[in-house]
Amino acid sequence: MISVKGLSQQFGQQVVLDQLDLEVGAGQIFGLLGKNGAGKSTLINLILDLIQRQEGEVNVFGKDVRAFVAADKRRWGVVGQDLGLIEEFTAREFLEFVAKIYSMDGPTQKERINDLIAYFFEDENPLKKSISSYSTGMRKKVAFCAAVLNTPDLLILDEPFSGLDILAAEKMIRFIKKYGTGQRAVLVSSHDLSYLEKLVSHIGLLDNGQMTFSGTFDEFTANFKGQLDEALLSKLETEMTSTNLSWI
Amino acid sequence: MISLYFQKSLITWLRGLKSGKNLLSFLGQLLLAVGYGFLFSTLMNEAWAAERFSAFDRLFYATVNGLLLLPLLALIFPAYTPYVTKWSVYLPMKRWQRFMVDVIELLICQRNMFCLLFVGIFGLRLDLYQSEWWLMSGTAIVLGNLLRLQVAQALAVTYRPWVYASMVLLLLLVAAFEWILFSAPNQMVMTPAFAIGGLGLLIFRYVENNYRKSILSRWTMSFGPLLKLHTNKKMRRLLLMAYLLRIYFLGMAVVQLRNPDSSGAGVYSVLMWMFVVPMPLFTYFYLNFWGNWRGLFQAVELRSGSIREFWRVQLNIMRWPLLIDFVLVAVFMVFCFPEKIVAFLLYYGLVVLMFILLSLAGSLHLPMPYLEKMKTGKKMVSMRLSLACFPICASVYAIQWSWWLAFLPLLPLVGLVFYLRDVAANYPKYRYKVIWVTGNPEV
Repeated sequence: MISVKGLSQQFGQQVVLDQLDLEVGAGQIFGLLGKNGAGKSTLINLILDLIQRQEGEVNVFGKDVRAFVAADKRRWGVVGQDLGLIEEFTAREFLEFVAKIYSMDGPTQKERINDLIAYFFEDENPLKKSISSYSTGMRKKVAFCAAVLNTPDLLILDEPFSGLDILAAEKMIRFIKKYGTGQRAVLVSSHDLSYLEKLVSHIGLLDNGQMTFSGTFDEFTANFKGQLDEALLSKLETEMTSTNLSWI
Repeated sequence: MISLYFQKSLITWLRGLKSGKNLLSFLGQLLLAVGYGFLFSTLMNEAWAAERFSAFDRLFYATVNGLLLLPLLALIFPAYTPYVTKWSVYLPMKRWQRFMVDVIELLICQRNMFCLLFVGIFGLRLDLYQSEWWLMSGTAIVLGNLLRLQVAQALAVTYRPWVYASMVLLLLLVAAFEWILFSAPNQMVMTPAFAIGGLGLLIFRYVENNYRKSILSRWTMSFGPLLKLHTNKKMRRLLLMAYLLRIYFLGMAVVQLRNPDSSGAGVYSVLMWMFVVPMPLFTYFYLNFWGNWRGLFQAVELRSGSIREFWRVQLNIMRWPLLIDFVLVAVFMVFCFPEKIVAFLLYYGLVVLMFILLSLAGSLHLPMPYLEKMKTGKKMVSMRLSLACFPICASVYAIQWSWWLAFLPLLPLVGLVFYLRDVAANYPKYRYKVIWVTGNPEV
């Protein structure tokens, strides 16, 4: 579903991605891991064609993303770092607006919006205010609802759990697990390993601008009894004791 | 405290000039100010020598009105931080001190220094009406800045009612003083502007305070959620300003028509007002287009990526303001100039089309640097734009109206060519720029 080959990107002198390859197939929930500044968001932005690509190929649904037309973009749902919400709208108005972009018919639109709101928001009263007054978690949930409203084939989620309480995160995990089956795929980047552990079927580890690991979750954690954090630490080869912090 | 503040401002200004780009911009503006001074005074002297007195008059009042509009243009073009945000609440300053410092700061800002340079060169080289020039240009600069502060107050998120009221009162006093001082017909242009503007803002404040619970609020919402986009605080205020100015200019046209002997007004004069009036509306479109709604832009970009979709949304937003504006002006034209209604319709359509095209072109062409500057409160861009608008504003008055009519069909064409060549061809590039910044990636 996503095919990235030889992708390189640099900002000024800093090489962020270096000849990176990535494959995400249908039925996969692919977790993208890496240190801060490893280039995860850059990779996602390149997949979404939000920044200009310097070198390499990015194909989604078998087509170069640069050649995407409106019909192609309807096939993906995105929660980016910038949530892209319209602050003046209420959650329901925003979702209706998104549904209009997708040209969804009235009854379907109403049914899905009602279902999503009922699933993610226990109390609907705060939603009657404009999005500008929402908390971080509420915003994230609205953005997620907008991403899945059209039941896209591909979900791309950049840090979807940050700012969510444990209950909301759990609901989102269950939703994604149910969603990312069959011919659909999910690409999710997150630092919340405890959530990813429950969610992903495949792992990609981004380090020094390259995909140093790409395979199943089981392969990734093979020697660590399924402990994602232990496996990740060993793969990143972190030097934990190099600094003298005696003043602490 | 105040002297410390000015020391700090001076240091900041000097630091700003260390950047090569800023220094170049500064020198460019300096050159423009000097150049305009020489150019306009030469034009006026020549007009007088050639006994083209009407051209002389037009140039004279055009430059005065240009000076008046300059601070406002600096305000309505982005790059402005409402003054209330500049001061920490912990500073041991009284409100009136803060207000006065803001007024003084406005008057001694770099743009006004350039204006004074222009005024000085212009006045010194003028063969006639020198004293009138000094008086009127000085008044225009002060009034323009005060009006700017007043509008800034209206645009600011929070403001003190009594400061607001005192500013309006001050403006009304200045207007009254000016009314007494000058009796020339053209002064009618400036004086009621402040009176109406001040009163209008007072009324607006009342409406604004009661907006959420009012029938008006419910009424606008009934047009659908998209209307909310241009009824948020900033847009609502800007639109209201546009309508106030529109009504004011229409009023001016009526005043001129009633006193044709003293004002020399005719149908072309009225049409000229019509040309000037779309400026606030243009600004409104412009702000709408250039990514004031980042979320909107991104929502459309991510889910459709079609510029047509973006257009559709924008047209949806613009529909009501345009319709209201059209009805307002059309009613006036039907009553005052029924015989010119066809020409007017053509003219109106072309001008609005031109403004929309230029707004869109500008919106895609310029977005992020402007937004960044607005956030950081740097003023270079707005000043540059303002100075660029100055000769345009002046030329509208100076050139014979009949020439403008000949040019009119060309204007939208030029706008369209500009749009197609510079923007549509590079659309992806600019789009990337916008999203790149809004996307705020980690790296």
